[in-house]
Amino acid sequence: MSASASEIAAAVRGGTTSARAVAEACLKRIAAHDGRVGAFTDVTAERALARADALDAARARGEALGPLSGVPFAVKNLFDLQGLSTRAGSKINRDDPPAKRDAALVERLEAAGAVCVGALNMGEYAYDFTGENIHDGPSRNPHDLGHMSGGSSGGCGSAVAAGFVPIALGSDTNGSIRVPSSLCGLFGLKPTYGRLSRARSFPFVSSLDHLGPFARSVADLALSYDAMQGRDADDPHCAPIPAAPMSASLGEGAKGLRIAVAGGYFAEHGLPEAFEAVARCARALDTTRTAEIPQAHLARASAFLITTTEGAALHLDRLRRRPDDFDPAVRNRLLAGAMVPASLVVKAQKFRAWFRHAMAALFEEVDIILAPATPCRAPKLGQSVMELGGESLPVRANLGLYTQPISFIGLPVAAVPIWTQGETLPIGVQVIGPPWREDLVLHVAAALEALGVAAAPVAAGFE
Amino acid sequence: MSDKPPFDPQALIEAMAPLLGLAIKPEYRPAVVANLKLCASFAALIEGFPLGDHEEPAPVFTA
Repeated sequence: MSASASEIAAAVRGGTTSARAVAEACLKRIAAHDGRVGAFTDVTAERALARADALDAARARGEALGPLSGVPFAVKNLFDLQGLSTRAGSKINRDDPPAKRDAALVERLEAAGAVCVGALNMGEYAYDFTGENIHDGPSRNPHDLGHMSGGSSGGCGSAVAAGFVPIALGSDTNGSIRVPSSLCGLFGLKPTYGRLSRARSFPFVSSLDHLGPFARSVADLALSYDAMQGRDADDPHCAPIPAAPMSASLGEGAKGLRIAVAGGYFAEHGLPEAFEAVARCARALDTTRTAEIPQAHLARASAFLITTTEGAALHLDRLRRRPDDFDPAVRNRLLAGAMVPASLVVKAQKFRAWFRHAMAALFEEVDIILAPATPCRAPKLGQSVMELGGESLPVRANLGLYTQPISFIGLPVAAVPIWTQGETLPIGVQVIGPPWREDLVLHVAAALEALGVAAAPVAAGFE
Repeated sequence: MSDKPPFDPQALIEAMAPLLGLAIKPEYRPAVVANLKLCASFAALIEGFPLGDHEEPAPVFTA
């Protein structure tokens, strides 16, 4: 399944292969190889084959097929899939009754012809940057199985990098799409806050939760993104704005855009490979400009406080009833979050408004900002401490050092994967745009891909 | 803020846990204390930044 989504859809629509054959090959591949990867927690084989048969029957009747026809995809297990309990990486929620209806984005992808093949591993309740899960085992990095996939959408990173599916859907509250994209070498899109419906996905931090796709090409990212856009009354945060399809204009490139590299906070606290990856993008895009993101450390601090307190409020009853059924690391952070005074959290929300204004002023001067996605390549599984700038820092919190301030104000970001010759593991760069300008971030990501700077191959040994 | 007494996470836990109906078992406590200290350090950073009375908190509720 190293074919792209666009290639699969073209083959199914043109009749050179059937949706059934694609689904069967995909399921076979997952069955053969996922045992050593740990990407999936549920494989919905029956559902996928029934869906594929329905597409083939529609084609046989002469009906027009959608742009994602026959394309297999999988979703982080916090998306509702009808008939499955939405576990959200937890032990506790698998006691919930099965979902009655699919998540909105699953419905939209399937309406465009895609075929859902299952639910993917994730860090418990999405409070994670590692991709490790105490209940289900880790989702491993297909580029080196001894390393982390990154979290919390770890199974998404694993499944797409292993070539199990060309598209996966994840969530990103503080970096959970961009961190696994970086560690697994994938393109990932965290759209503007409010762009894509979160209806029927399990929440973490309502103020900060985003959903978005992972893919191995920018074209596939755009194809899935286009199919998912549009308002949805079932998610009160989904903005009442029309869809802005991207696929047709991807080739517009980066010419004429004012592109800057983030300085200060984003040029510190990381290993040299993080900055070198950004510098390579900047050279390819022919920019020497830098931009100072004001008070980024306060943006991170505020996002941290909002996350831990809103997360605690969400889980308060479960913390009372079943504290020992949590991942202890998640539980202990949520217990602390429950006790943070409200006045401090409101200040963090006030700072969010200040930071939004300050970034709006910066985006008067530049169109795109480049920043590292993670401070390092994928750490080893189980690694709890990393060395950064002579300091020993906890892995869990610091993998999101550069993503957290950006999602804090909901800016659209494409993560692009950068490889260095001789290294088995990639590292990502964030292409950051102003609110609602996914078009700009995808144009720049596509330009970097076309220039050969960014690429997302299926992991060696999985081709 | 320089005359503020030092932050005592143990005292906060003693006061808040009963209010919230949370049982902080002894084995949870060291990590909860460490996380509270981290929250306090982040809160102190934000407190040190001047925010005007008219800076609206970010979430918007539409009736």
